[in-house]
Amino acid sequence: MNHKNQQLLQSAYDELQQRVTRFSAVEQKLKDTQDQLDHELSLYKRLSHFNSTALQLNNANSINQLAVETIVDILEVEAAILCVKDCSTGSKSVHTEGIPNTDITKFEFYTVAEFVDITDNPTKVKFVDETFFSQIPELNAYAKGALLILSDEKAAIEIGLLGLISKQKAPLFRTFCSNQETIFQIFGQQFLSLSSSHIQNTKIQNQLNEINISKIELTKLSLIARNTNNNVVIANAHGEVEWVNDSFIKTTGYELDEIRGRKPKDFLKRDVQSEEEHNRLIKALQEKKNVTVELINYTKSGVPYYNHIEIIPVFDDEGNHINFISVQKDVTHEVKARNEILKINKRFETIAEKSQIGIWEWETSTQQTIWNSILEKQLGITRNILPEDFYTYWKSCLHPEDKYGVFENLHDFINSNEILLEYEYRIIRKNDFKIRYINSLVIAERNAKGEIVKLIGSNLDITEKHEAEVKVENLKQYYESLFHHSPSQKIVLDSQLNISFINNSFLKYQPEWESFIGKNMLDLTQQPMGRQQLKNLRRLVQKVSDAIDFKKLIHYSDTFFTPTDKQMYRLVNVFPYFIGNDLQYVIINAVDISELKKTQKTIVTKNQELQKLNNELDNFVYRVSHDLRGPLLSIKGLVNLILSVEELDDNLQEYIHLIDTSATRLDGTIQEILEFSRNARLEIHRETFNVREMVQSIFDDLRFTFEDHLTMTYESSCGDMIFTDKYRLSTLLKNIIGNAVKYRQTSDNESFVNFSLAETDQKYIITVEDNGEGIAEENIGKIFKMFYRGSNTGIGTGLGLYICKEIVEKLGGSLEVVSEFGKGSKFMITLSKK
Amino acid sequence: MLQFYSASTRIVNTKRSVSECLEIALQDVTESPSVLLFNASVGHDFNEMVDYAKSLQPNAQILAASCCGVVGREGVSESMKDMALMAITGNDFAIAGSSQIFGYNSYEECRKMAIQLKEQKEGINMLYFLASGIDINNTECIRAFEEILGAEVTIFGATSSDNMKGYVSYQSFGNEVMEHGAFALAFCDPTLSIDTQATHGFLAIGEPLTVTKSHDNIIEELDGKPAWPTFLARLGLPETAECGNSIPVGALAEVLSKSDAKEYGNRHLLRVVTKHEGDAIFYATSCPVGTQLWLTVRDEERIFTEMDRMVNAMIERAQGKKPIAVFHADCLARGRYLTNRVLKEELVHQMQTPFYSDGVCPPWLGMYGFGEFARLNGKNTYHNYTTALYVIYRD
Repeated sequence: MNHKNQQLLQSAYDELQQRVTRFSAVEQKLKDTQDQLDHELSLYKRLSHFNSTALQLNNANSINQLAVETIVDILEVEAAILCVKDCSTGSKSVHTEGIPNTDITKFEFYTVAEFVDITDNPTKVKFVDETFFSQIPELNAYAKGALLILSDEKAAIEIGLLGLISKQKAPLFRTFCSNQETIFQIFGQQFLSLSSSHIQNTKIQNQLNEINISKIELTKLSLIARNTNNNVVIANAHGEVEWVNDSFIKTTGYELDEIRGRKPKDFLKRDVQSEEEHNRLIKALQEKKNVTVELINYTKSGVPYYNHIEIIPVFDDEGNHINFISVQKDVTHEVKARNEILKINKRFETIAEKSQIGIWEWETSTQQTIWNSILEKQLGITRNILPEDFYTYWKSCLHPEDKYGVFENLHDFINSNEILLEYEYRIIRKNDFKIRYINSLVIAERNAKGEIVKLIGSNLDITEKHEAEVKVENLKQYYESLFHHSPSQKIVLDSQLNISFINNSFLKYQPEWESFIGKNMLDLTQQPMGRQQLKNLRRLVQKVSDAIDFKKLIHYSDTFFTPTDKQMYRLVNVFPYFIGNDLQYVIINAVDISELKKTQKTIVTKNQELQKLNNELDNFVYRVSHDLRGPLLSIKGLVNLILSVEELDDNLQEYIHLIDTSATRLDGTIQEILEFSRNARLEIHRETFNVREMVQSIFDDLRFTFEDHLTMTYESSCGDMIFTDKYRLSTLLKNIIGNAVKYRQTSDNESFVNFSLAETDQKYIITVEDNGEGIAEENIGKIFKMFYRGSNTGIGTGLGLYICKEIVEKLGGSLEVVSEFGKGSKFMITLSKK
Repeated sequence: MLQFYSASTRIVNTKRSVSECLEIALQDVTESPSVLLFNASVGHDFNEMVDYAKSLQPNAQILAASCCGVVGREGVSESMKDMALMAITGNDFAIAGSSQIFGYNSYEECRKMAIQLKEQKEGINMLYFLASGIDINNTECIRAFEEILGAEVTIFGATSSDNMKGYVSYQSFGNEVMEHGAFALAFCDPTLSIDTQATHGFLAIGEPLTVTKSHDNIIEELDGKPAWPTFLARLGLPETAECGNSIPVGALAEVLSKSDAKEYGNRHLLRVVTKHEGDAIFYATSCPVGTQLWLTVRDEERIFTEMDRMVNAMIERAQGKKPIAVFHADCLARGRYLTNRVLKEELVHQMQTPFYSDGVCPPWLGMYGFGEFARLNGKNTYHNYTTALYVIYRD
């Protein structure tokens, strides 16, 4: 085989290869065609399945749902929408299949149809694409669709069918073809016919049902008219009685034969009664309208009764008035009961008005509210409000911050089985925009199912009470704050002796008491605690009990250890507060007196030390004075001896006199120091003695110290006996009277020194008055000071009046002087009798 | 101990379809199912299906895969709204899944799943594997599972598909719906054993095409020319044709060893092309340079006789045991695109009847997908264009 032949052979072989394989492709096309036919048959079978299944269904919804699924099935699309419109009623029923998370009411088919040109053949299948869907927001996820809109005028029905393929899944689905158009068209017609006949059947069925119901109703009505307890009267178009039931005969006593052809008013009515009701009845009868009235009628025997009358005019099919039917009921009992209720209501309203309680009543059936004038004032209603608008108005009054809570409360209450709700809220009063606090009580009337039939409520304006509570609360907080910031420790017990408050100062030292808040004081002793703490607690409980029993403040002191183990002393006051005989609370106030205790201790120690020093000093002064006086008296004795020697020259004699004077003066000083020391050192020794004798003795001693004339007098308004320290009084009077003598007016022959004694219940009053030199005003304040000497010329030591003052103070009295320079002085001494 | 219950339906509404499957499958069952395994056509909303199934059976783990049609004990259905269910009770199982599996990472993802399965349960003796059939390297999947679980563990299952468009496929695992996912349901019930076999009945014809440039599962050139146009030209299809056009006629055949061919009843193993990108063909397994690929033609008679041969061989191996459940994977090109409805139903009847017990079909879950796993001459193998049966017995 040459090369060329070989090439030809190879080429022919290759061609053969391709023919064989291409044959497969051709064969596949045949298979595809066969499959298409086969598949088409399947689709028709599905259609047939729909028909057979739908015919077995009675429910329109089930048929429609089956239909929408069949659209998906026969068109082999992803999703479908079906809409059926009943043109006689305008109602639409929309069904979907395969459309995720949709609100099917969005798909109003007749809106969709507006985007499709169906003018040429409105009943033909339309294939739509993305351009179409882009105009409908709800369907813009879809890429392809088949739309069919059909109607049956006779059955007054329109249907819309739409098969859909989404953009996302479009590659998986076949392109619409004519076969699908045909099968869809057939399906549409079948469904329309099915729906039409279903609707017709339903309508016929409904009419049959209505007829049956009417027949049953008629039978029932006839039975009711005969057997009802209400009185039934059938009258002709002129109002003349044609028929009455047994109940009417029983109530009125009239037999049918007696009243047939008569008008009811002619035999039931006797007196003129409510003109308004009567006129209303006449007008309705003339206008051939339904009317309901309540009149007083009379039985045949003349007994009056309240008659509730409903009159219904009856017309034939042509609208001609043929009869009146009157249904009457003897409501005498009801009227009486109603009048009684009205009276009670009136009383109740009066109470509500006096108590300023707003009252309202709301009925579920009418959604209307009635209310009283107090409620209007509470809400500040400034205009007329309709009963059905009241709830809205009330809502608008609610304080914005309370609205949610109020609605939640009401909602929970309505949905519960409770019959009573009480709650508080704020409103903004409409007329002055003031915030008011309302306490509201709501009572529910429920039916057997627990549903609300009626709500009755009362509103009480509690603004003032609320404000007072706020003030009290603020005050309480203020006092709590004060208590907390007080350095003293405080506990407050309530009337049951429960611990209601402990301040920070207390808790600082005894923090474990924080856990006692809310507990009863008397139970605390059962708590585990240390010995000292328990002792203090028991004592406190006892003191609280005493304070309550005696209704008075009780003080005591205790000691305790702080958390840092430091011992502290405190003064505890237990104060029970009563209103009348009712205990309100108990305040326990403890003050830290640790420092005071410490100071007291120091003072006592210092006093003791000082006492000791004083004693030592007194002893020293006494001993020194005593020891000095001995040698001094020796000197004076020697001076007197020297003076008794006659041959002393004049100068020497003068010197010796000077020595004697100085020695005498020194002796005086030492004696006064001794007096002072005695007064300080010796205990008071009171006794009863004769003061006249004492004064007389002093006068006598002094009488020899002067030569000029001086009148000394004694007088007493209370007798001469006196009970005091005799020795000290003697020293005191010697000094005072001695000074009066010493500083007398020597030039005046009328000089005097007067002593007088008086007494009160508590004290003795001694006065020593003279008309001597007197004391200059500027010196009066100084005369009782130690070593003050009023005159340089005198021989005084400057200790006399100082000792007097000391004595008077020791004896619990006083010493005062009134003096005028050049005219005299008056010393007033008071001495305590005890 | 695991128990199996099945049902199938073609109700259009997804929720009602789920309800009906559960009602039929579990009508006499008191125990709550632990696994619900759904096969469903792409016309169903998979999210709705999984959510609703979960709401009805909250204790069950839901697994689902898309397909071109289902086969149940009720028969065959190939529409846009088919659904089939295998409900499983008992706890002798483990589940793992992957949300992103492709040709390039098939080995790694399957290895991860195998490790997860092994960590969950011991004694795994069979593995139902279901993955996206678009862009996957199934030989690598098998290699990864065998490495971890052992070659003795039978891998059965399929690759999920759409309605032969090669556009998208769905898988659901862990209540998520994925487009390139996979799940593996491993059984470790020691009382169970499985027998698998696949058959196709196609004939390789003419001269083979030789792979001259490729990597992994992607063939770039055939006979030194761009792969996809060459492939279309040999099939006599226009240049504008897509995988949906080529799948029914474009079965590619690889030659088998003599021993493998003997059991298979055919000298060739078939492969499908489910995706192309430009001129590159996405093959279903690894395809090294030098591989020879034959075009094939269908032989209806052979398909029927080979089916008989396979079923008889399986019945013979069963030695009188009756199956407690049958899983079934069929190539979508063997469905309505291969034979008419009458013949197809006859074919299915022919494969189901021998497994009946007292005239009742065992629980049966089948799908028309892109590919099938079944043992061949004792080895786990991936097939295309076959009918593969996985018959489970209780020993």
